[in-house]
Amino acid sequence: MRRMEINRRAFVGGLASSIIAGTPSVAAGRGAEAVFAANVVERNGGFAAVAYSAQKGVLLKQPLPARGHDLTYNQATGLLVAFARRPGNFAVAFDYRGSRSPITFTTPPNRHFYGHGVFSIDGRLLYATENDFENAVGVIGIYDVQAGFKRLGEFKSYGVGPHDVALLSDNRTLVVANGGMETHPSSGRQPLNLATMQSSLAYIDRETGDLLEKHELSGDRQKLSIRHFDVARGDVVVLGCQFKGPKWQEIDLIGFHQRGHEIGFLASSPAATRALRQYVSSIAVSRDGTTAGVTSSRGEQIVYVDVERKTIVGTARFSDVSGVAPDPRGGFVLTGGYGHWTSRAPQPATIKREAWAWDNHAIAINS
Amino acid sequence: MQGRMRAPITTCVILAGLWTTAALMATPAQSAPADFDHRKLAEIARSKFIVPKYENLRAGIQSLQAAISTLCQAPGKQQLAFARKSYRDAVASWGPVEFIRFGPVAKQNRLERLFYWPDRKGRGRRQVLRLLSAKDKSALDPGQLAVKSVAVQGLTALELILFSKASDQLASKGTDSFACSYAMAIASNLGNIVAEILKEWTPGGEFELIWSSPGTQNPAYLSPSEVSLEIVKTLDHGLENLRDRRIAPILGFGKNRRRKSRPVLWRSKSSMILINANIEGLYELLFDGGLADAYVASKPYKGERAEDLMASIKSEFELMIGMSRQLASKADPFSEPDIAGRLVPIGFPLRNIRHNAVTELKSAAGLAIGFNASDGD
Repeated sequence: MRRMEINRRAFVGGLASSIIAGTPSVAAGRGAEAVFAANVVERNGGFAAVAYSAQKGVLLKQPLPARGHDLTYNQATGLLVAFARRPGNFAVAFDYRGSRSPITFTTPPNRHFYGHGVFSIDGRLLYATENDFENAVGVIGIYDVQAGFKRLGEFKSYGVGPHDVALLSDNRTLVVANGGMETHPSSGRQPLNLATMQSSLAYIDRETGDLLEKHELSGDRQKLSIRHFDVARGDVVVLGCQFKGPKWQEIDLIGFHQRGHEIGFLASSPAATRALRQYVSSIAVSRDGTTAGVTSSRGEQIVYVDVERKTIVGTARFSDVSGVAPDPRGGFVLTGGYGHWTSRAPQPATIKREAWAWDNHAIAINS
Repeated sequence: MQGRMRAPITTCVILAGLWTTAALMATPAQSAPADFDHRKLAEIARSKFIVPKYENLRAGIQSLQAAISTLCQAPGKQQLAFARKSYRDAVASWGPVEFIRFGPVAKQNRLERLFYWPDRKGRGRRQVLRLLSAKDKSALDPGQLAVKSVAVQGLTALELILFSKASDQLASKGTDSFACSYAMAIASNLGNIVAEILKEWTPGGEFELIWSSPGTQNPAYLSPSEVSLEIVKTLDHGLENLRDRRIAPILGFGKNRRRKSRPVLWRSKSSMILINANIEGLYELLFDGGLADAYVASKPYKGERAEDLMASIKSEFELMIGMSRQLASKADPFSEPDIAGRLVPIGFPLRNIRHNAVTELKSAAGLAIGFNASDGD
């Protein structure tokens, strides 16, 4: 397997730089409104999906019946869908401008959502990662948006525990992270197959459901779970993994993949291992495609990766950070579980706070 | 947009640093009370709970090995009965350590190899039966068995051999001895796994060095409080798993309302033995493993409230243990009338204890962990 070396000097510098003061000089876009969406848990224990403007605050708060996980947005229709966190089986579609009534839809009783999904570019179909838990296999559920999110059917995810899903630039190839972990609603979120788990990245033709390409993790990476990814320019898939093996084992968590190649990982260093604590919460590629922001709530760290050079270019600390989304003005929006958030990171910006806990993911709304 | 984020690497790094300072200022106050002795807790948990309990397990497995060896050499009803009794005793010695899911047991699939559960789809049974019918000789060598499927290696696989319908044959002379030799290999493999775990936990052992030296260069624990968190999490998850995954499904509660599950180790009728050993283990982790003492010594409250709180948790635990021991002492507790009615008062306090003990311990030891850090996906 191809390995890429971290720029150690830059990485160590990033860790050490917390005491350095200086004047920022990164040119940032101005004028654009940074709108993002995230699921939240409110202080009273309620759940909601929030569409949020970095400049104006809350645009719309859509109550959810239970805890959500990720959302997906479609520019053509202006619809957002918030998915239940596993093993939940609901999803809520809504218009963040508030001009249409929200629609709540569910999986069939023998399936549940994994919390992620993606629209076709025209916004007519929605694809969601789901668990066929009696057969312990992953599926991609297909929903007809114009028919009120009627479920049209499903195809295999070609693995166990599919989590994140995205559409490549051809508008036809779905890429799916099969996390590899078998769970069943009767045992909650407890993994049932750690000894034998196998994670994979699968490319699927969304028109035929055929498997186009699949890459499995094995050997030293048998207990590594590909959970989240973002797609950079040239359909480069930037992976963020979680490790289920012993805590002290140093393991590479950030990977890259392009069709026709093997998965390559940023080589681990003790410092990188400690920064991420074997756990990537979320990952997002900046709007200009050059940088990936990789968060770890367990390590309370954001690691910035140069996507082209495949090197770590900086790290920063942010309490209970999890959500990361590209900011149209440059850099990233970051959200944390204590209600705080910031924009244009890593540029210095005011950290603001809301009364709720921002849940796992944040997404950009490109209007 | 293109190129906007493309600052020189050094600039980016400095920015990350600058931004760090701002982020730290926004960090919620999480300072631990200065007098919570994390290092002492780590050592007491290791020396008074973890190591002694693994030693008990080793002794339980050694007795089991001896009993199976006798059975294989001189098959007979009495020998089979003794091997079965030794199996139940070994289960009782497994219960207290079952919820330790960190350290050496997390390596090389040792946890699953010791005890493959839950096994909702009956994989273990299928694989063990296949192995028995194929008379796979490689399974008779503990070394080779250790690299086979986790489902055919541990106490759950052994239960199938010693307690299935066909197992009565083990008592007859002259019958095929493959099953008995396989049982022997399992017991021997279990002994090897526990010996490896103990070796790593003893002073100077691979994991003991990590456990006793938290710090920025430590591969697993960056600060002494992270070791305490590991111990508190064991109590927290243990109480949760025991109640929600082990007891509630038997009663058909919660998400499993639609159908009741068979209790763990139902074939050997040792379900209650294991549940009771789990409860007693969690009790001992709290009261012998240093948690309760560290809590009281840290004096999170002025006056005697800390002691009172631990005393009340202790009496609640003891009441529950009294009931679970009584059930565990019965030959077949699940055939008792109103077993559900007797399990509910055992399961119910677990939630209460979890809520009180874990919340208090986390706060006294300064173990506040973020919402996303504790419950991400």
